[in-house]
Amino acid sequence: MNQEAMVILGVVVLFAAALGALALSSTGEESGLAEFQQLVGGLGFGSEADLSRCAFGFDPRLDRQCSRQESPVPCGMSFCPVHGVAVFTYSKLPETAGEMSNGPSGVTP
Amino acid sequence: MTAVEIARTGVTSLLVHKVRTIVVIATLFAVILPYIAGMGVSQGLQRDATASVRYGADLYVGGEQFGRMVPVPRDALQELRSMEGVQHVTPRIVGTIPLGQAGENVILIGLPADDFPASVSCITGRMPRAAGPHEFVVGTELQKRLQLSTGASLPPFYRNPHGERVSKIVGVFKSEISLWQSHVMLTTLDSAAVVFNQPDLITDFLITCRPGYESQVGNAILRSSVFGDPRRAGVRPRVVSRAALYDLLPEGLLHRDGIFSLHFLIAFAAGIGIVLVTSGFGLSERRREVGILKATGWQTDEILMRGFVENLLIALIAASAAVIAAFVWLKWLNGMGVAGIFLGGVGGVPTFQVPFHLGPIPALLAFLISVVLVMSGALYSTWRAAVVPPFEALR
Repeated sequence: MNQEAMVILGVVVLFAAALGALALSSTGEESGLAEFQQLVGGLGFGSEADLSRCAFGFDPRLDRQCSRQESPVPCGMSFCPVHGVAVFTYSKLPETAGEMSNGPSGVTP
Repeated sequence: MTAVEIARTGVTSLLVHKVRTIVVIATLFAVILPYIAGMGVSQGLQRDATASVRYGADLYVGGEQFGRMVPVPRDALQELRSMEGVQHVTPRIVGTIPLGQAGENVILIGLPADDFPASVSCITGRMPRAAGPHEFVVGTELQKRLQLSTGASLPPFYRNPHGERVSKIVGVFKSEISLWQSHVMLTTLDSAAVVFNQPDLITDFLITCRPGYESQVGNAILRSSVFGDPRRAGVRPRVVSRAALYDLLPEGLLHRDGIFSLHFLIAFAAGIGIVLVTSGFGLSERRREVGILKATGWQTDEILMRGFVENLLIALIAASAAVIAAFVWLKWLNGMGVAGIFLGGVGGVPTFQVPFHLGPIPALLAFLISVVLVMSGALYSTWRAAVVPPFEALR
């Protein structure tokens, strides 16, 4: 086998291995996670594992918005040590001052 | 000359310029790997967050004063239970308390002992019981940092005017179930009330509604004075529905801040270096090579196709290697060293299975970024060399 053929074979094997990695990463055991969430009534949402640093970054059910967010300041979210490096971010929960609707959010301001 | 034969010469070109090939692949790999790993963790978190919403309650009812969350009276339980459409109400305490000499932050969760199942598979040990000493199930990070194991006793770690008691660890959460168990101490509602010295207050009520009654129950709670009359310094009810939580999820997939904004900047900065390597530094060598090819009868489009195949293979090798490396890093090395960057409150070596999911879209995006970065430099310089007469290219 000449060198060109070996390179092509190598690239094909590498590409197939990458596809295999993508397929393997999507298979996971979810029963333990489901049981844990049913046990604690739904806990955790963001990329924070510690509630004391940023409750909103841990779970928006426990705090409607980040308490360290400097809202009028550009990139003010980054002042929070959690959101500054967040890999998974989400907006604050809507106000519940009004009536809950049957719409997608379930809440209207 | 057929297209296949031209493509084969593109492969040959990879082998002829070994140093350039290795440098470009290594640089692309270094740019793409953190991106794919970060996206993998992000998508894994999104999957776990979806499960957290799906298996949680229909409505979370807490209280608000001055726009901040406050505890609510525990005795509102009966009124909530009597509302039309309500199937089940669970009072819950969620709070933080320092534990140990280093003051480790603990997420203490209290739930009614009656609601605990007899046995669960997500913990090693057993569930806390109502009678006897305070019993706790602890998360893996606490177990590691505080050297806690099943059967261990905890000296009093809280202040209560009615006296403090020795507590007992009766179980440990399994490491593979969730990121969010790592700092948790689960106990009964009464034990949590004693630890926080709040016998009459709880954090929130978890409400399960009859199908189709979620909005009706939510509105009834918002209109009610279940936590006291708001006009007389009472607590205003605050309702978070499952639908509202689901609404946060799609935005999480499309909108990424923080480390990703920073990473894109780094990626583009490194990308400029790649373009320089592939176009500027190799230009004289490439001009000579193109000149020889032109002198031997090659057409401009054939030379461009040769360069296209060469750089496509480079991008494919770099992207594939980055996907495999990200998988090994997150799955078998459990995100060692990188989990603490992407996840808050986590050490260098996580005590739980790092959530991740490598999706096809981030992988495809990484490949496209590689292609664009490499092609933009190489094809332009190749084209510039190919359109001039051979004697000029060889000069």
